[in-house]
Amino acid sequence: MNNTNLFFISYSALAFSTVFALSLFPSVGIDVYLALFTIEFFIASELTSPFSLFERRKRIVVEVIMLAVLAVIVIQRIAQILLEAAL
Amino acid sequence: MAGPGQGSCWVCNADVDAEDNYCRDCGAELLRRDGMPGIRQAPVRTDVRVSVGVFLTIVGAIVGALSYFMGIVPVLAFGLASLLIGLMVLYLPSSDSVVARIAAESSLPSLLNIERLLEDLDLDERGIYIPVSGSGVAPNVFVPLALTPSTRKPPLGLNTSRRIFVTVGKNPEDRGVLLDSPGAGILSSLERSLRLDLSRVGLADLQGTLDSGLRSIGIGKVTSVTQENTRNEVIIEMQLTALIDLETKLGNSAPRLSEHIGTPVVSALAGAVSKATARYVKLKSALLDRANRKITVSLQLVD
Repeated sequence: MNNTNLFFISYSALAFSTVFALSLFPSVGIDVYLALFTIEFFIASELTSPFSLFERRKRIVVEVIMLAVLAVIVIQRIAQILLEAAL
Repeated sequence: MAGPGQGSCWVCNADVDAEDNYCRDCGAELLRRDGMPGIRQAPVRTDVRVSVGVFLTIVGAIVGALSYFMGIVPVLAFGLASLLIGLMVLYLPSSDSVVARIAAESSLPSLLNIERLLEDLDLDERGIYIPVSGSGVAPNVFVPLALTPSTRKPPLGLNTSRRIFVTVGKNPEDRGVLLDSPGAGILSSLERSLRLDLSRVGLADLQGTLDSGLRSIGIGKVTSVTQENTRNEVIIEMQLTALIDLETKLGNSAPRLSEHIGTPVVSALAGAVSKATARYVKLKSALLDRANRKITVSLQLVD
């Protein structure tokens, strides 16, 4: 099995087990799921590396998007906490 | 490539018969489509990947959209996960690019020329990697005509020589062929990517350095570097993520080069050990396990 297939299998296992585990907590928002999906992407990516040069170039695009999503979620949460503290 | 009927050799393009296993002109082993599961199964695997990707994307989009309007967060997360994985399966490639494959194939004829040179000169001694220092500088390989006290340890100055046929002693048998090592390109790229000179890295740190260097240039990972002090031997195990086809083809069609000097990856490892230890290095054996993409290289440190 090549590293890319190993990555897909490990990432799917992590993501779907996260959905199952967090579904036990009804108050968890979708941003928590998304943040965990992002972190799991980087974990699975590192665990199944190395990839060929061509694979890594394409992966960087996905990594940037994932990092942007995580940054938006974190900034939103920080803003929310600061606003609540100000009020 | 030789087809099921009459075809042509993949190396010299000469006509070959259906029952031939080796080319009658150049002696290269013929690679047949029916004997290469990778080639036959590639379109099937791609089809399966696309089907899985499309299925996950569609299911994820439908489930995600419906659960979003119904306000069911866990199901929405399930849909998002499916959509995300589906898009990744469709977007991320699973093999080397065509350009990378062509680049690897382009180096094959020059390496086969070295094979013919070794064959024509009937050189049976193993190549000796001459230690060198400097970032991006790879050791040259000296293939002696016969093992004599002079040719066992050729002068270090040979690394700057531009000659092919060199004499390293006073006797007529103190001669040999001096070649740029087949792994010089890999070794230079590795050092450039790490921005360091391997001659400043000791053997103790070589595994970590080689591992991160080979990972960064996308060739593979080094799983172990062990030194057998009693036998003056260094054994390196690594897993390849690229160049596996080139290594296999060279192993089949250039046996003398593979055994005496080493294929590009093996040669790069030998050059790295020569630089790190500042000693002459000879290739003892190199085993390629194609199924597990694993190479085990045994190198002899010459005293």
